[in-house]
Amino acid sequence: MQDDLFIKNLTQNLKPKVSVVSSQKPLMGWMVFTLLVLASAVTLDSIRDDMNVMLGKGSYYVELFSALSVGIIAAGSALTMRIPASKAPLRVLATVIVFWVGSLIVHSLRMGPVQWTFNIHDEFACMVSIFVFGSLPSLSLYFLVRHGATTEPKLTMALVAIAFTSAAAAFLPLACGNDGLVHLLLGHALPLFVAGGLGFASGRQLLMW
Amino acid sequence: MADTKSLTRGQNWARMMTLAQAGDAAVYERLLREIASYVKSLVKRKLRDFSQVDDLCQDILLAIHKARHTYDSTRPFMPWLHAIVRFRLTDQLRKIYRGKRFEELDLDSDYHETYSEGPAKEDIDASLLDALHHLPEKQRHVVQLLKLEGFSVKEAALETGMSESALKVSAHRAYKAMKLWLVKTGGNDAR
Repeated sequence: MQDDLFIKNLTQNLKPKVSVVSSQKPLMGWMVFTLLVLASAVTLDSIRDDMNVMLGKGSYYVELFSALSVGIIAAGSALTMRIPASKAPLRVLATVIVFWVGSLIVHSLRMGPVQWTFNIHDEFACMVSIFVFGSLPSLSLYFLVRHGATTEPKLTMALVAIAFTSAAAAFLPLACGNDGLVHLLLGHALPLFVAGGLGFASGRQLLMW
Repeated sequence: MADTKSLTRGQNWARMMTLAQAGDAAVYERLLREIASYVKSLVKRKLRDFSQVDDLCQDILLAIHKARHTYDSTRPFMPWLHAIVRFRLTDQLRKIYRGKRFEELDLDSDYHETYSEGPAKEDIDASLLDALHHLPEKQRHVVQLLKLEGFSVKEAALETGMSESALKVSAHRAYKAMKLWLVKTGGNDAR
């Protein structure tokens, strides 16, 4: 087909398009939705018995806010990456992830003596919980991102995955009573890296436009 | 309305895209025409197979059309455009390389027979031979060894007594001179 004819086909019946350049509104909407979904999921699942003890520790709030920061930065970056030629603040994100993992270690130490025991069922259960809790937030963020036109699909999908896993991991300590160091690292932190890797690997297929 | 002559190409296209986002079909059509010729010149530099240029340009125009709602009128237009061009171009190159990686040669095909024996001199376009004959003796010998007699660079270097890098430079100059000759004389495909 000649270029002229092709361009005519593209321009006929042209309708005004609503711009998606602002990522603030969708980010706010996603955060509220995620907060509601995760709070409901944790309430329906189970609340840990020693909740009062945990809420009395400052280290829990550091962990909570650093995990939420990872989620918000990753989600905001993914939404920004919908716009071609946008850049994600990857160094900031990496720093906050390191800080969050550090806060998990500190929280574990504050909650009691270090437990080196390893129970694959517990770790696996928490991993599954993170993916189940985060399924709706992940889908909603995915469709928001898909509405744009990312030119970095792998990175964008990895950011989507990091966003929903870290948000889910922020709420998980409310339901999970195991504060063992190995458990927190494998059951709560590892899913973020696994999901990030899977998102990176599948990004091209999932975000092709 | 701003004087379009005083605007740079990027500023002008940014203004046109803003109007296109608001639904101005005439401006949008003009914008796509201008972008099409610009993109074609960019793509020609990257693709060796010119038959794919038109297809890729249309693919890029379609991508721009699909992504027009992501352009932010407060930001420069050219980085946005180039990101889309690069994205589609990389995709196209990936397809090409992936196709080559899994390309299987049928050992009984005519293609294989032709190449295993080397191209026959009588099959070579007369204009190419003409360009070859107008090369200096040394360069002609290098091209004959590499392209007509099927020598590898290493073998040709041994044959001519030149170093491999000197031979490559000589071959490169010869191809350039042949291309110039073909363009000047209006010979067949200058590539």
